[in-house]
Amino acid sequence: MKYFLSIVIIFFGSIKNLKAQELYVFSEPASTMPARSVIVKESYTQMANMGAQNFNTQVEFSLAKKWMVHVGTNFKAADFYSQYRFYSNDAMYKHTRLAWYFRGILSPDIANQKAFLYDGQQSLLGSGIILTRLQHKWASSLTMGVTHRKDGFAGVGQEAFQYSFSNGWLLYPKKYETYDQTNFNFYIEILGQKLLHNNGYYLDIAPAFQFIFNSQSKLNLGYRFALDDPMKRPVNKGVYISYDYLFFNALPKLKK
Amino acid sequence: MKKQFLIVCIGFLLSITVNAQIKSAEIVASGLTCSMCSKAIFKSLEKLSFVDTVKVNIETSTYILSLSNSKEAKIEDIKEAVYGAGFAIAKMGLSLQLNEKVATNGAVFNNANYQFKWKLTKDRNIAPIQKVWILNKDVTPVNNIYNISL
Repeated sequence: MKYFLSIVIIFFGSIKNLKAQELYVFSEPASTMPARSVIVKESYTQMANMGAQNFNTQVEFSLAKKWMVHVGTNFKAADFYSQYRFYSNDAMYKHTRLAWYFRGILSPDIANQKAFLYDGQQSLLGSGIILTRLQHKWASSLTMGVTHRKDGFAGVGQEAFQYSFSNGWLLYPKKYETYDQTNFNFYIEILGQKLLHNNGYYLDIAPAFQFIFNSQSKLNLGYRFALDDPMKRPVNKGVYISYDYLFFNALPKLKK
Repeated sequence: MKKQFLIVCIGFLLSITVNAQIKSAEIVASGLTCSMCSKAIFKSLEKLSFVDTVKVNIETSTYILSLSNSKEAKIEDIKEAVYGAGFAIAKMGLSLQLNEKVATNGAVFNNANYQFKWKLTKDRNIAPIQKVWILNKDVTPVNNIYNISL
C-alpha cells in the first residue's frame, strides 16, 4: 500500500497541468455510451507467467441514453454486462455520475484456484455500483461490487468483493482543435479483490496508454501486475491490448 | 386544376417559411472534457433534420447550429440530442427573428411555435434578428414558457 501511495503522490505532483480522461482501459466509468451507438471491440491478453493467451470479441450497445449492454466471447465462454446510469450532475468541464452494473460470465471450465477470474475461466455473476467524478484535470472512478462464483473452491466460499480505483489524463494534444487530432492518454488503475468467506485477497495495479483516432476509435495498451498477492494466483501479470471502434447513431431511435 | 395548383404553391411557400423565426442556435454543453465526448454531441446534433450545419469549438464545448428555413426547429429535440449523447446543456442561445423593436421585461410573446418571456433588468432595444439566451434550468420550459434574456 505504501508503494502504491508513493506512486500516486509522485505522479499527481508531476501532472497537475493536464486534462482528465475517463475512458478507462481496465474498468468502466459511470458514464454510459452515447445513445443509440454501437462499439465493436477486439482485445488480446498475454499473461506472462504461463504463456496463457486470451482473445475476446465484444459488441457494446447503447440501448437508451442511460443504459448500455455489452456481450462478448472468447469463443469458449460468454460474457454479458449491463450498466445503468441513475445519477448525473453535470457542470462545465465536470460531472459526478453514479451507475449500477450487472455482469455474468458463463464458462465451461470449473474454478481451479481461490481467486475469482473475469477472463472466461469461471462462471460468475456480479453486481455493484460505479462512482465517477470528472473535474477538468481530474477524472477518478471507483467501482465496488460483489461477485458470486458458480463453483466453490477449497473452502473459500462463493462470494468475493471486487473493487477498482481508476484515474486518467490526456497527455496530447494540449489543445483540442479538430476531431481528427490523435489523442494520447495515460491511465493508472488499481484493481482489487477480497474473498468474503476467507482471508484471501489480491491488489493489482494497471498502468495503460491509450490512443484515440478521429475521436472515434481507441487503441489501448496496458500492463497489469500484482502489488500484493497472498492468494498466489498462478498468473498475476500480463499485457493487455485492445482496439475498439464506435459507430455513432447506429441503432434506430425508439419511439416515445 | 388551377385551384389545386394554387393550393400546392401556397402550401409550398408556407412550408419554406415555416420556421424562419429561429435562425440559429448556440449550445454550450457541460459535463465533458474529451474530444470523443464532444464528437458524440456533434454527431447527435448533425443528425437533426432541421439542422443544416454544426460548427464546433471543442475546447469550449460550444456548438453553433445553422437551422433550416424550410423545417420546423424544435428546441426540445436539440436538448434531447445533447442529453442523449450523455451530457447536459450549460447554456442555449437562439437567434430569433423578431417583429418587436423593444424588449420589455415580463412581456410574453409567441415565436416559432414557442412562448417566450423577457427577463431583463430594464427594457432594451433589439435587432430584427436578435440573439437571446434561454434562462430555464436544463432548458426545460416552465408552464410552456421559455424565459429569455439578452
